[in-house]
Amino acid sequence: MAITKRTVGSSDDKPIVHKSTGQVTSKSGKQSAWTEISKHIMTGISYMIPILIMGGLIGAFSQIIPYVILGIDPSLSIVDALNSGQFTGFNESLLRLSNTMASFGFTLFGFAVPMFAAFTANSIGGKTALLAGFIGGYVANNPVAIMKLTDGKWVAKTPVASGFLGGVIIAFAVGYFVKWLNEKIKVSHNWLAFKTTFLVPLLTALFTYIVMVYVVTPIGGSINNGIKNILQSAGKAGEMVYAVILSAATAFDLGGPVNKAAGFVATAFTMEKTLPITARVLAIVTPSIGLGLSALIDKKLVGRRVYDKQFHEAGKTSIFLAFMGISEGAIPFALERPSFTIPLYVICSIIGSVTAIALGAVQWFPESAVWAWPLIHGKVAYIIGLAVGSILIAVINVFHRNNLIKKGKLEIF
Amino acid sequence: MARKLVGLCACTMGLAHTFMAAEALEKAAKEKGYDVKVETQGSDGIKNKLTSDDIAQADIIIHSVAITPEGMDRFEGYEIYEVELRELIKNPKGVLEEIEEDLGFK
Repeated sequence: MAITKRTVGSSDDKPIVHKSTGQVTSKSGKQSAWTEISKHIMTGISYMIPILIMGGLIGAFSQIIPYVILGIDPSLSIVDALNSGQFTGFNESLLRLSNTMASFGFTLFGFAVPMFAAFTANSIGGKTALLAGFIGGYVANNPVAIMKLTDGKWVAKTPVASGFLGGVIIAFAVGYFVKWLNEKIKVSHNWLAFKTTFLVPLLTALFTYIVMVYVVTPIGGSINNGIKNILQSAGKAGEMVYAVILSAATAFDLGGPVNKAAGFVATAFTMEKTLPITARVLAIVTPSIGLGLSALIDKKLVGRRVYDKQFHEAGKTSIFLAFMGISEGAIPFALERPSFTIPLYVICSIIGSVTAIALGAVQWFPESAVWAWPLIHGKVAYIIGLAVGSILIAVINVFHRNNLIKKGKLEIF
Repeated sequence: MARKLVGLCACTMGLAHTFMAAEALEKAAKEKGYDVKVETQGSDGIKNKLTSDDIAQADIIIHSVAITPEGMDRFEGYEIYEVELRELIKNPKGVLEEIEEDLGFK
């Protein structure tokens, strides 16, 4: 039986030793290290999911009003529609409402990564880490502008966001940094206030600043540039090579620097009418639908739940948001077991996009929400590709997790 | 006087296992004649919150958590037993017996 005895506030965890048999009943050290990391991640996820639901749903409603209820052409933005003069009276108010709602919804949405980073860091290092994690997560989404020399003049430039992967890195870095500081800095009782209210916060803020601004964000930026170059050369290599790399890069970090690079190149190509954006619009939604689906079909497929209850709700949200063209709903799933989930959805997104394109699906319009589907040439092929990609993700994921559960490597609550 | 046992249960999602574990622990502890109080940190917030007095008076402190619970500072300096939620739900009596053995209550 795995019972551990410890004194809170100290780091010496003692397994219970049976007096009668002398047998140690604790688990091996390696496994408990993973258990600990997973506990921190799960704490972060449990605070992040409500935000994704709140922000995602409000953001989605704001898109349903103009594009579904009012039936505006999907190639028109809400502001363009307002200025077109076609909408008056009640419909005009609805449009104004939906634009404001969109801002609010997407503002909320922007707090998903900060909340995750905050509570993951809090789980590791306590209160000071919570705040630093929140700030780090916010900067992962909204990088700080840095001075750059352009044409002989200094200008403030905002670099590319490092996204949720940046958020994970800073959460763990700052969490363990604060924990380490609190353990290593030993002061007499008189200086305790100085340590906890001044020294530790100051060092933590500096650490967060240096890591985010000079390490994490630039790494994200150089990855972003690398992917841009690869995609541009892939564009010249032919349509299928381009589709493979575009869908892989789009799916990979669900809105991070790799995804942004993919968007930058693909939008340019599609605007010039050189290469269609089909692979990207598919790969934005395939992971979300596939992963969401795996939390919903698990019972039917293997006769048991392979995800915790809250993921069941997160799954529905993820699928719903995917049809609204939003991929962030899949982040909790990606965070929960990244080493397996990320390769899985990247490969399956490639398979899905290639299937759709091979069957003749073409989309020039850069929007993956369901109301942009009428603009696709070869709608059936598009839907087949989407189904192939997401069902593959769901089925493989469910069977893999079922296997892990059977082997006792995964627990479901 | 009956020995006092306090517990803290919190699972990742705070929907089911938190309360199943709390119930199992309460039942088993009552059967064994303990004065028992179990705090739950679920999705509906903290219920049955343990006070510093509760913790100070307790003979046994059990944590059964899948996440880092709130208010850990209350337990600072105390010896606690950590047990997996699954274990506690399945075999609350066994868990208690093992802890009693460790403490030499028997």
